[in-house]
Amino acid sequence: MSVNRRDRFSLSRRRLLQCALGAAAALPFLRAGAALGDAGRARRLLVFYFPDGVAGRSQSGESGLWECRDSGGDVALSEICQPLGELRREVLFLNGLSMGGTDEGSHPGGAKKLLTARDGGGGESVDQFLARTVGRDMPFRHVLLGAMANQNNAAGDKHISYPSAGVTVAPEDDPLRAFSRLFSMGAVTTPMMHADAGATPPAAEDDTARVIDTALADLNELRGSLGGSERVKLDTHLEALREVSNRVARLAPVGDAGVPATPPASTCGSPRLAFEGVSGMGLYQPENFPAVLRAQMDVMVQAMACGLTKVGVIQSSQHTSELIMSRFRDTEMYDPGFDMRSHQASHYGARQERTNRLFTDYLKQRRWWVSQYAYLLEQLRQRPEGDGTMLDHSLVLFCSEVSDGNTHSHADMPFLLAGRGGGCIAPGRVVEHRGTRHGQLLAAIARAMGSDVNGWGDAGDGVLPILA
Amino acid sequence: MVDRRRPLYETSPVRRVIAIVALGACSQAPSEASRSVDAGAVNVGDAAREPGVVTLEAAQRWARMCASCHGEAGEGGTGPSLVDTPRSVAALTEAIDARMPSGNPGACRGECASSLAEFIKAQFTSERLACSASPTSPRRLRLLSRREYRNTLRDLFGQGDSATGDCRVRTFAWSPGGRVARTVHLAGSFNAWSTSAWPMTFSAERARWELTRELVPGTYPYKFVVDGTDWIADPTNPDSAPDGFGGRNSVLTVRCDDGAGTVTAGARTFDPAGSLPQESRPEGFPYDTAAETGLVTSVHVNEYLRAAQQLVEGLGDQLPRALGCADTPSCADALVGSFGTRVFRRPLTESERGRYRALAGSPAGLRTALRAMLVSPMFLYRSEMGVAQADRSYRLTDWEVASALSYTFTATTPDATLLGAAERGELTRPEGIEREARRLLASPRAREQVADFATQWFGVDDVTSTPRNATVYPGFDDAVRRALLEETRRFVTAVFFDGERRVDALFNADWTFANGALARWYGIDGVTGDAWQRATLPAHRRAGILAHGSVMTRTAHSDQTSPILRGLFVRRNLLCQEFPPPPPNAGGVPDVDPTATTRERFRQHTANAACATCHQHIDGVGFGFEEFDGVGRHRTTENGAPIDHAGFLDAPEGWGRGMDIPFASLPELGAALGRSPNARACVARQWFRFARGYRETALDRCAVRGVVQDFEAHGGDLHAMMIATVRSPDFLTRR
Repeated sequence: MSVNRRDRFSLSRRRLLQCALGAAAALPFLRAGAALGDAGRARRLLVFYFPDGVAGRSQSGESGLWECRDSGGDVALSEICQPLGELRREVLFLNGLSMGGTDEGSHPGGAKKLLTARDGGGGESVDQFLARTVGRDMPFRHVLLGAMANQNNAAGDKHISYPSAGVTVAPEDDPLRAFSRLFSMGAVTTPMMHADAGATPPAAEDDTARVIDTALADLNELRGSLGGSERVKLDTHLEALREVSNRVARLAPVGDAGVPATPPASTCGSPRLAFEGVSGMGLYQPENFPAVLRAQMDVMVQAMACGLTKVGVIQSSQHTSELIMSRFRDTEMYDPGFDMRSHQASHYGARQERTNRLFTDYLKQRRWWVSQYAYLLEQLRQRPEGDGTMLDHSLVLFCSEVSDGNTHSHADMPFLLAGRGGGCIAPGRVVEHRGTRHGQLLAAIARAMGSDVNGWGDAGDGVLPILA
Repeated sequence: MVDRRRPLYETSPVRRVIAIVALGACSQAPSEASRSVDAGAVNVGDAAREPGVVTLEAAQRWARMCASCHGEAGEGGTGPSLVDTPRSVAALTEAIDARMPSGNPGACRGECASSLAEFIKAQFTSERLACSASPTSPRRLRLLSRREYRNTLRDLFGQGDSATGDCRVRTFAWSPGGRVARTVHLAGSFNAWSTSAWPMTFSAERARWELTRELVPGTYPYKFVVDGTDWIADPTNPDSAPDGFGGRNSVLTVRCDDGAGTVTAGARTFDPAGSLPQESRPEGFPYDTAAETGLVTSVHVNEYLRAAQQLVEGLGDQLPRALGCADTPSCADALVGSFGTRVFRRPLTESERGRYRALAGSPAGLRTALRAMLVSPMFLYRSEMGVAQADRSYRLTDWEVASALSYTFTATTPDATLLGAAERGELTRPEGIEREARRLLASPRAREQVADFATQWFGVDDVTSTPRNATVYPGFDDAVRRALLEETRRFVTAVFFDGERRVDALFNADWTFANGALARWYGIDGVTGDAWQRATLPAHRRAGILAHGSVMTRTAHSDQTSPILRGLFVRRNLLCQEFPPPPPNAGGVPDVDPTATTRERFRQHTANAACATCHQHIDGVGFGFEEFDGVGRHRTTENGAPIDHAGFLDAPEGWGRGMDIPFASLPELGAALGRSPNARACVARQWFRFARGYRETALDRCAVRGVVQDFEAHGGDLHAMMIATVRSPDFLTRR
């Protein structure tokens, strides 16, 4: 089956050209209202973040157990990547990328650079940039979901998505709330939908548009009166109002505008969420974490299948994570008698010793994160879209804020990029780099999404040559 | 030319250091200074090439590698002060190259070391750091926090009891009519029917006897006791039950959802802030009042719209009553007039009046207009933008001061008295500010606000959900968790408001508040049941907030204590001393070892020279807490070995200042902290951060010093401290 799909979804010459050209070439397609059309580029970006790195090169210099290697045209999966199994053909293995030397040795320093590629989070993150550019006409420009990402009253450095320099936004940690918000299209006049009721658009919101227009008028007056002060706040606010305003307009019955309220049924189906009984503080109990994370992935995949957004970020826990992964039932980590936290295990010591429980548990934990990524990829692969599957049209980044959890190194970062990006990417292979800055990867992702950036972040221009 | 007053400089360490440059230079030649700073901010290349001009890069290096120990303005901290250092650039370069940063030497060699040496010599001179009258706080639009937003809606639309604050806080009132009463007491099941415990006071203004108390959720029969003998049911309360003497007691039910406040609008009770995203805060800033990072995302807009809709739907045909009007025309008047002034916390402008009046032409339009006001930026941000002055600074308006005072002390929208004072122009004068600040501090809302401040300061909010291992810590159930949080809220509130209000009690009080659950947990005798009461702590064990179970829990891991987190709690939260993050390869928490005590396991930190650089200042303090386990219970042994809880706090006043503090138990540490100028000043610093919404910068040094001096001149009176932060001249000015 996968072979067939690969054949159908081979890289055409036309796609190659478009991926390399960037936004200018994409515009005609976008203008044609082909947000879901086959424009030969990635239709969506999904970032999957997990905390505390992997077992990379150890403090005493042993080779890492993370990197997968080329093996005669196939990919030899590393010990940690085993859960990918046959999905390895859908993944581009990016070895040797570096986030640069600033704040090396620091979890927060790494989290700040991860999606901004700027020291200290000193700029917009690539997901936010794509949301407000290529994703701006989507009902939701950006969907930011978390699993225990706000635990312990997390400060901003724990979060990875930066709408502007030095400012993060907090993910939505409650899958039910996320589901309701997304599949009611953010409706404000109807009660929340039942989790199994499907995405029927609610009744027309007669005066919400006027409410928003008035807020916009007030906001513009405020902007005018303040000159350049507080510009970031007011610009962000303005864009937020515009996004909601567009959404409200779509809630009106489909008319001449021709914008479909719901995308093709074959992809979207009838959204549902199998997630019960966990809310409030239960969202922060470690034993519930796997269920919460899975529900968030299900919500995200359905939101994307239904054409609600092009840019999604799923943040699992937070850097320097206190998540007790030994409480995950039915996993190889499970041990009710012993609390093994993510960050605790990551400091397994200077050597990779198989007799050291910290180390062996760390490996098990990292494998589990990969298995979650594999689940996400599988969900995308099971949904047909266009001439392939959703995964074929997507980019799914797997990332953490450090490489080796014990050394906190920012070199040899554990990045994977799955999906074919609408034909822009040829996965199923290993790309070796030696210290190339990861801003180039972010730039390549942005270009595959139809943006025309020539680089991303502090390291300046440069696009990782992974685009077909 | 970039406007030099734009708020570029706070929050992030880099910006803070640039602010030092600005401050230093400003005191010499303002126009020159602004040019060189802006050049540095806009074009690093030029600044770097210009000899003698401090490079932005050096400033960034300072912020990243040096400031946590040496202070943002080089004034010293856990590292020595570098202000007016007699060492030459060459000597400094050599020292940095060889030994800095402490704990990670070698990370700043060559050009890095020499650029920092030049930076230190050029910037950290007492002349450059002298105080000036220039404004220090940046102009801001401050997005309402979830707490503020919820409280604001409650107070704009709330009805009856809910208007007196948190749902636990209730005001009892008895109007004597023509009767002359000498004393009136409130007696009920909440105080064991005491006829003397809870005296009411007579309000001449409202011609009634009043008493406001905070009550644990529950059902309480009660009566008023007039002149000690006459028992009278509450005539304003329709709920009653037989009193067993042939009459009836009034009955009050206090019902609250823990942790989630609600707003009642007409028939609907809901939490308008329940689905809003958590506030975004800078790293290391614990307060939800963070002023710079509060952004409105589309999720916010969605939730604001939803809340406004729910509110208007809930009010239904009671909308005119809520607005204080009768029919559509008069309601439109109210909306752009008296009620609009309450919503926007200032009178509407002409164009706003036009806009909202145009919407409010029908009953449906009135609802639309009200919804629009509640999602307007004018409602969602409180303005601290001020009005431009001749000297290019800005000054807050009376209306802005009304909001600043109200949200600072009560986390809610200004009340009628405050708005009246603003209208009369009384709030830009010191006496008006102080009068209103004192009035607000006397309200039940201020108690709630201070309790919220304290739980954020100590980081204990999540004690109700933070995971614990049930095998290691059996019995640590929801009731205990809630009791630990409640103890801290009640204790801090009592220290700040009841009795002498002296700051040292935070550290050295030999009492706390307990209910039965807490008393069992702590081993305090004589306290049972659900009711909270003041209780004396066992001697030589706990002191102030130091061993509060909430603090002990939040500074521990799920199955073990953490001397590091506890040491850092004292250093960062109580002494306002910063430490750099651990260097690479630092290693993690030592593994749980059933044969060793925590102190033994952590000893490697001080045995290893690299670790010891920082951990000599951290672990020794934390070890002093070892007689309390990871959920705040007292213990004498660990894994069969006796606990050694001797502690050591070095340099509590900073590098080379004051005496080290060895302590045998926490009351000794608490007594020392109570006397420590640095610990006392840190309380004021924390309040300053909470109130202003940012961590004080080098620019704020003088303002904070002024507050602390005022505070100490009043013998450490916490109200004097809180008042001083709004009486300070910089409260009114912005840059």
